[in-house]
Amino acid sequence: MMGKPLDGIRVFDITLAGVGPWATKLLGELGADVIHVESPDRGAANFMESPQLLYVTANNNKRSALLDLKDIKQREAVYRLLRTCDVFVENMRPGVMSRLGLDYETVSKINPGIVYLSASGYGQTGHMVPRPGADPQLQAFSGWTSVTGVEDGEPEFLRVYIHLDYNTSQYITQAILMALYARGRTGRGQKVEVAMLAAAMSLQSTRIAEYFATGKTPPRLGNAASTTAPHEAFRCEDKRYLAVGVVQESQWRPFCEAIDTPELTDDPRFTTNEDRVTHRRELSALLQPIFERHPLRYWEIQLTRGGVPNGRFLYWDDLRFHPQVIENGAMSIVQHPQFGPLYQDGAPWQFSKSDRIELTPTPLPDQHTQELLAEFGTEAAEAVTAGEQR
Amino acid sequence: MSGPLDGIRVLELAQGLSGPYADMLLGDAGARVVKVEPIGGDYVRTYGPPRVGTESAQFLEINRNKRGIALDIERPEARAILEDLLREIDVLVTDLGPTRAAELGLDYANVERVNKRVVHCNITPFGEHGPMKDQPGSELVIQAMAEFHGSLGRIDEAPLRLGTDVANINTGQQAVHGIVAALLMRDRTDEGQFVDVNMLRTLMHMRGMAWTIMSEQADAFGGPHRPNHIIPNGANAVHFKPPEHGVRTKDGYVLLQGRGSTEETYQELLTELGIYDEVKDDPRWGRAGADVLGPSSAYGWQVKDTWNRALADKSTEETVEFFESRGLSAFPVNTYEMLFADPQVREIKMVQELTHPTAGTYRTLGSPWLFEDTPAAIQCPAPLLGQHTDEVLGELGITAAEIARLRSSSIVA
Repeated sequence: MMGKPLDGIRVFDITLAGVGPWATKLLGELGADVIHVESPDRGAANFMESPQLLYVTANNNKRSALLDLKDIKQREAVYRLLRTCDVFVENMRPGVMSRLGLDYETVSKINPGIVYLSASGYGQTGHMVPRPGADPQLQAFSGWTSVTGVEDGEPEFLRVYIHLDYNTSQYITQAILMALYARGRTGRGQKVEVAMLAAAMSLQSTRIAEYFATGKTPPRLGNAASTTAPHEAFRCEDKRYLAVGVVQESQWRPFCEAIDTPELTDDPRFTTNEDRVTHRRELSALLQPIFERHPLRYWEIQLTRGGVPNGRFLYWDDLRFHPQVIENGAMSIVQHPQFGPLYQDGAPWQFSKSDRIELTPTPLPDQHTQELLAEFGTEAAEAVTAGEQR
Repeated sequence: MSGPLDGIRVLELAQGLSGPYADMLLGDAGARVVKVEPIGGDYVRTYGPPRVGTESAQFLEINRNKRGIALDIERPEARAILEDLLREIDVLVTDLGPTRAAELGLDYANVERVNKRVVHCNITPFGEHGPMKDQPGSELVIQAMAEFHGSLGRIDEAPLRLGTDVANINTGQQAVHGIVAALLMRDRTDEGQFVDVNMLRTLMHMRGMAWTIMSEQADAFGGPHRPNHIIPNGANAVHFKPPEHGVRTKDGYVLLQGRGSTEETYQELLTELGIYDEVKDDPRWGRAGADVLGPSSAYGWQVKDTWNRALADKSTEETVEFFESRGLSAFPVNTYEMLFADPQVREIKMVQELTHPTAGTYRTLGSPWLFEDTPAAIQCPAPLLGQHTDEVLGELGITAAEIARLRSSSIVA
């Protein structure tokens, strides 16, 4: 029995929607005991209304309890539970935690070793604080939309409105793990904050670097990359597109040979990556007719043989049977207690000296309420006290 | 106390964007990172334009907080140096196909033999297993494979990619989780381990919800699947709408949101925009705008022309003010110029400065987290090629004369 990296770590999760729940789901996958606490009205609303899909996909690997913090007995149970936790995660608007009696000052008094993470849209101060922060708003505000789209066309949103939510979750998970590691050295917990805006900007590091260098938003380039070339999609004889990327200088010669045009390596316009980026349009115009000479499969074989990055534009029906997806566990089939089998993401990492990391189904919103009350509720506490007295 | 990972030593044997971004985060968090480049340098040094001085802007951004050495790891003498380095570190980050890793003696079995406390994270494009395990990848290739084009552009036109390098950067994030989780486990077991992270799995993780959308009923192949949500060429239910650009204003674009409006303020707004009479009998425009405001609304995309017309004479700034003052919500679709002009960016300290020996002073992003007790810090710029070779090799006890000899035989630079 090897166990998992976060065995023995308990997480108090009082998060809603996408950002917080996805982060604690990752902690659960890593082996932590995540207890997702929702208020009875809010939890039910969360589950039964339209964001149900979001709820079901973002709350794997947790225990779920509906606890009413206004009820004094349940609140005591929560405080008792908090004493046993290592991590506290919340993503409410600033001020809400104080009203619930779960602000950092209170929680850290109950449990000084706790890592307390607050997630927000735009930070804790500044003019954006009262504004709503979720994926579409962040796609617009963070500049992300402005670098995607057809060349010379309009800025374009990604039409799955979760990416910048889950991106924030990644930094939340990181911050919690790092603070736990620091606690091992200092013996202290601490308060940690992650803002969706900071997260969305860090995700755009490479593109913002271009802006920092030029003072201009880099232009939209359709399917082409901005700082490497050729790195775009080419239409083949059978009208299908192949993604091609010469992303290392050493791949240029093999690329030219693979497309039966070795003389391109002698063209001074295309000698170095910098030359090719500078003459991107000319290069692209020259390569497109070459790709139209043969079907996709031909180029796929040629480029793969030459060690040049290439790949197809796949769809769901390809992906779920793709050997690369299956053999690397990039998708899971999870048996949900109410909805039956669901396709979900696969765990993003595997460890050689840990039990296999895998998804367990999202619990129903109150699935573990009784279990937790039995463990931490008043009666349980009384029983313990009675036992001590005996 | 400095950052949360103070005292952790990281060796980076990775090029490109993903591994170096991961190690930059570890460096921000206080780890001491040594970047090992081939004699010719990390290939990202050739990326661009744009460049800052003679340096690649992208290279500078994701390689801060590191020392750099250049080593030809194919040469036996360099392998000996590498083994010495491996004995001194806590974390090794590589980006090698499994076959290549074994050829170079950088497979985990060998790393573990040298130092069993090392956490070894290897980042691949397509995974450690399967027919493509040794193939090289690229940002576009991974985005294409993970179906990002299914949520961008139009079905009958050339596929689009996200402008952001999500395959690389999101994967770098996963590497950080895996590494720190394994360090926490090492505190219990006193052993390091191998951490497998790959770009394909990462992007499929980021689109996790999309797979569930398509999977409610069992199908003939035995897998859960909801066929009525598959439309021609596989683009799926939540993505079948046309490209979403926001609503056009006089000088840009805005994202409209229905949150917080009442029927009354909403009708006033439509009246002031001069479209109330035109839309009042159209049921899609009812419900205080809930069905026509924003990209997730039911009919927002169908009535886009009306919105575009209504806002054609207002600037983006005026539009935001107009909606906000009436209890509705509008967000500017920011360019980077607009984003960095917004005081919120300074408020969260997302712009910092560094001074590089040749590029001079350059702007760099802040760290994405705020630790109250153990703050992250941006301390030094990206290294020049081989800038710290003498220093790092000196710390291993290699003499100056020996380093000079290694340099003249091009084993180090």
